[in-house]
Amino acid sequence: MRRLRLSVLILLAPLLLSGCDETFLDPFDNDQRYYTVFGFLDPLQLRQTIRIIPVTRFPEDIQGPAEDQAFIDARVYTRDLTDSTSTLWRHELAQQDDGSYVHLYHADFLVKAGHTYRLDIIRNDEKMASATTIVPKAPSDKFVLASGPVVRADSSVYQIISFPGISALWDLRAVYQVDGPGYRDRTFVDYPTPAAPGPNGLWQYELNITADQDSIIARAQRFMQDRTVDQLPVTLTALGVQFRIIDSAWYPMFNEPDLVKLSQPGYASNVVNGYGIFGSLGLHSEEWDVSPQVAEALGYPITVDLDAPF
Amino acid sequence: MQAHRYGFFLLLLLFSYDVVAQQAILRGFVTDASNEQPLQGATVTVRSGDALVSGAATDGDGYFVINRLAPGSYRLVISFVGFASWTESLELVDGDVRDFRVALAMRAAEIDELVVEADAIGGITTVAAGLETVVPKAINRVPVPGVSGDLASYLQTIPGVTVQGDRGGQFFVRGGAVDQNLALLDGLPVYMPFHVLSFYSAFPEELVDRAAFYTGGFGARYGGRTSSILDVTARNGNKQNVAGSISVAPFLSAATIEGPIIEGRVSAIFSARQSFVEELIPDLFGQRMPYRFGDRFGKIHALLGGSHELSFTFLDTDDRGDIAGSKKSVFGEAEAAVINDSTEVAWENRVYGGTWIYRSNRIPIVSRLTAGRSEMRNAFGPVGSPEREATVESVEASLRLSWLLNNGDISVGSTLRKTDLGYTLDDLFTEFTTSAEELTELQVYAETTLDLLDDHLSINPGVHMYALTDRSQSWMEPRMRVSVWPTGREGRHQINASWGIYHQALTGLTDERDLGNLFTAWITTPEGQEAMQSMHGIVGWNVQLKPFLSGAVEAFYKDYDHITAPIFSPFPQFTTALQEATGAAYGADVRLNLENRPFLLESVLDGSVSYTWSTVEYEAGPYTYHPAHDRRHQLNAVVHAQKGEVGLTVQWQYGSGLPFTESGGFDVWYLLTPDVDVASEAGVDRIVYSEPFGGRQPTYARMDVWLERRVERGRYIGTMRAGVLNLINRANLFYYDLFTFSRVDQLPLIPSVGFKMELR
Repeated sequence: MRRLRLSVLILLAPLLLSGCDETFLDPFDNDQRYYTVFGFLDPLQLRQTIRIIPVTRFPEDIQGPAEDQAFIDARVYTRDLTDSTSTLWRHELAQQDDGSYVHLYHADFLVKAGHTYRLDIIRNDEKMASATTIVPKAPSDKFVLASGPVVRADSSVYQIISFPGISALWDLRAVYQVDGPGYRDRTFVDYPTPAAPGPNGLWQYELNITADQDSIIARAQRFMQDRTVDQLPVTLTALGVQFRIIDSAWYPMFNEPDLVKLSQPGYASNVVNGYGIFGSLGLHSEEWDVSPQVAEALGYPITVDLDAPF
Repeated sequence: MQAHRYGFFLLLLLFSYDVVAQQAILRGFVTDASNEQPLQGATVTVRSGDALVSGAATDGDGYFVINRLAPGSYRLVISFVGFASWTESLELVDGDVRDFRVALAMRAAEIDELVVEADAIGGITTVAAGLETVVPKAINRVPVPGVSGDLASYLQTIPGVTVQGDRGGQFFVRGGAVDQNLALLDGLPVYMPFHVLSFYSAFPEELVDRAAFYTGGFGARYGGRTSSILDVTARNGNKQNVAGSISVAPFLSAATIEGPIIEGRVSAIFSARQSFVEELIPDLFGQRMPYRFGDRFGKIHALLGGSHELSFTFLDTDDRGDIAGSKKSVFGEAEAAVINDSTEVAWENRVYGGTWIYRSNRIPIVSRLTAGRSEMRNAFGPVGSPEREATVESVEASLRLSWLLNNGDISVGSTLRKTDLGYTLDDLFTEFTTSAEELTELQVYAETTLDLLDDHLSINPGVHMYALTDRSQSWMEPRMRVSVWPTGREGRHQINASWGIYHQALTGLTDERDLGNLFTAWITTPEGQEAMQSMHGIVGWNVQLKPFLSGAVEAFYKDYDHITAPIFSPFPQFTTALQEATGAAYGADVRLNLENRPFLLESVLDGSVSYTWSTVEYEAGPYTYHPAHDRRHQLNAVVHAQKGEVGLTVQWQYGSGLPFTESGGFDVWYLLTPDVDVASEAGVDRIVYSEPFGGRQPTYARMDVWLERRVERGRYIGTMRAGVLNLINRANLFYYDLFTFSRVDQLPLIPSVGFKMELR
């Protein structure tokens, strides 16, 4: 009997001891990733803007400027590694359309093609997330005009442009320079970015020169209103394109169609000790003079009536 | 395929000798005279003088058959422990077929002893290579808040069964996932058989006649699941007199009535149970108890002549509750503001069907035809307008033919099941998604159970064909179960082994990262993906160490292929984006059973202690991880002391921490395209998960103590049970809300008292 009682006690002892284990749990496990950053350097802008989200245990949900999360522990710098200049970014607690607030940072500088910029986001305890981007530079001979303008069955005129050697286009604008009596103007027409390169693997655009005349006419009519001119003949003297291309660190995002994969933390991210993308765009433009013969083939000159609808 | 067919005929030829050589046949049913319930395992012997001529044991229906008896004079003796033996002299002639219906009476001298019967807490005699045979008395000895026992609580004491908490009713068996378990009631599936408080299921002690629980390695008669089978046979009502019980307890109150419709031939049993915890104790020591559940059960059973049995079974269950009823801040001591977003999970089961059993008068064949319908509806979201809904509706018919031999049986069978599956998801972060699918499964099997080598060896080989008729896919699944008694069945040792291959075409989608989320959407295996497959291997050794002490050791291995797993997503949503995974689970358990051991103050002690070590590993996409049910160490102990009318039960459960995916914090994600402006657009909230299931929760431990007094006066039995759940008030974690960083704990210390009155 004594042995039995002893056996029971021996059995119970570890059970009772195991019941004293710690039951506290802190499921937050992150001492390596400090910030998420989304934004890019844009050569078309003087003021650069990025959004920074501190990676914390609670979702960012700032409903008022006095809330704890409205204060962010982050100093943000960029250093141009090409010419060793540094820029301190300014913080803005910006209110969005839904009334909530987010942390934006701004800096005013001109983005230079071919330069390397390093972004550093530093906490007070000197923990730091960083990202580097090289502003892409497209050589002018890397894109070509295709064969001459195409006239479709509805008499509209198109110009096909393709970009061999360019891996990723951000956007494109067609540039039309027109002249008339006492009138010279450059009209920009935005084109949506195709989702993917064409079947031949080239990024390709069809500039709808006939349709783009509406924008040219609209600008001419505004000029005519100011000058009280009823009619204005204009002709096309130069045609060009201005496009922005994506830096190589950022580009992989555009090759992945699977949203779930794309959204995985860290996927295609260039942020060290953080998440997100700090990218840059390279700006390039190309223009060609248009001879009167080519202008005629493209539907010019045109006579703009002040009251004509378009 | 051809080879399998020839193999089957060869099997039939081999054993047909038993049948053609028969001369006279004895067969019949053995029941408990007090309640007309079948007695499984009663010993039936045929003697000539003092010599033993032949023998058999009764099956789960209390049925036996002895054939191949030469003409002559014999004594038929039927005995069962605790019952008075029954004897009859026989004169048999060639071609005799004799039917018996024997009701054994309990031996008066042993009634008191039976109160502390040895097998009360899962004795090792019930364990064999993954099979645990559960009887009502065993269920009763595992305490629950209430008076009656419940199969759910008993299952939690079985080595290898992992439960995520005391609410939710999610069971994981030896590494398998929840959707890989099949629960059957009288042969029909019950898709979510466990109640929202995990102590309870649709199978209370009063309604269970017997239950076979296979934690793996199940035989050829079962199919369509890859982890475990719980096969519950419900009791038939008393055919002699009206009986019943009423129990009152805050967690669950119940009423059961049974009795003859035609005395001795047709009986009925009805039961209704309802939880009143939400009304009676809405707030317990700061924890809300927003749980409501209940079930209704009915069964009518008829003996039609000497050869036919007919039964109809009905079950209806309903559950609902706010699983995250009470949340605390991460730092515990401060109770967070009451979070009541009226979000709840709810599910309902409805099962109805019938079974017809025919036992031929001419040949020793038993045929069993079962047909019925099972329905399940699961919903999650705000009360009245759930964001997610899922339904499963199946109709099936199954036929089993068993050719009874003196040393076993040969069985063939088939099940045809048509299942309609549907779900609707309308979460905040999910695009509206609906799905409606149909699946037709055909299962055909052949198996035999043979006792060989003077009962030193029992083998149960078989083959199961699992076919999806609407996909023109089929798989052959060989199965084998073996038991060896090196020194005979009365000896100290028993060695068991089982092996089999299993396929499953249904998958339950859950968000495994959210332990508190019980919503499951059922789908079929995605097109182009093979059906889930598993291979089980189990070996075990049972030993009687002392007359009062027995032990068992079992090791298992389950290999999984073509598992359907959700793709890890950084967004807080239920995802239907799936990927194929592989996995393996393996482990071993050891248990000791103490039986009928005199203890302090002239009491008698029973008990069991079991320890399980196991691990589960999945490989999905780039990740290798241990899923949410990988409980590495588990210890269960139940000790019961009985003195006269008073019994004291202490239960201790301990489990190492379950894996979970830690949070690396939150941020916002943008798909940066030319249309997106980070200065004006909010982006998408994203959780940054750490490595999948890289963290471990704290350990789980709970001690329950129950005191019971049971008083019998003639046909009346009164029982009072009082006790405390979670005696040391341990703050066991149930789940963590990573978004609010608040924790939901399992039930705190809960005192409970209940009363039960039975008319036997």
